[in-house]
Amino acid sequence: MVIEVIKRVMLGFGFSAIILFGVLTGLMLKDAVVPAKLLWGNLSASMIIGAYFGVASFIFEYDRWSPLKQLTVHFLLSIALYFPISIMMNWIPLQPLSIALGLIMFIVIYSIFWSGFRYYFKKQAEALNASVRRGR
Amino acid sequence: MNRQSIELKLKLYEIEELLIPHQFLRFSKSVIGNVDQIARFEVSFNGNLCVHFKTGSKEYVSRAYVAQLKQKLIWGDSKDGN
Repeated sequence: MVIEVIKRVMLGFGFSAIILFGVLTGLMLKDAVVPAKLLWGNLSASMIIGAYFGVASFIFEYDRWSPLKQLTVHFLLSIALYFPISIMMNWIPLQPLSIALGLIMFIVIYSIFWSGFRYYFKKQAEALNASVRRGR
Repeated sequence: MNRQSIELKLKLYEIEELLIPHQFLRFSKSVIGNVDQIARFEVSFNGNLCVHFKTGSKEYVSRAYVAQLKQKLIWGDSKDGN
């Protein structure tokens, strides 16, 4: 269990590294000079978010909750963590329009991931059905 | 099979040990089912994987057991070699 938690935290750190690499590549191409303090802050924030999403995946394995409840809890927790950090890091400026736009983007990206999983589960059920028919 | 219910004074994991070598498999924390009696699978509205048995009864499959189930259905059981 502890090892699985560490594994998922590390996986989250991995994603934050990929994102930072993308950002740094963009900055490098523009010959930008960024203070180490700013970089440190942004990397810390994205590592926290990465670790959170890694560990939060356990919510979807908690059998006692229905998938709908799992999704609701995961979604609300994600918003509760992502928005304060984004506003603190100035990824989302503290203005009504920016926050609304940030929320819409968050929901769109979240929905894309959710649809991906739903598609995967449908395909899984289809594969299981095909093997049941074949076995007859 | 006719729809019969039999009460057993065994723990579910004890029944599991008895039945797993046959066509049975754990579907969730509270369900063990006969793989040969499955009619079809369905993803329910809220994302659960439902299994419908030939008898007409319906149960849920936990995500944690899906991989095992898939292996047993698609590759056959490796434990008793068929």
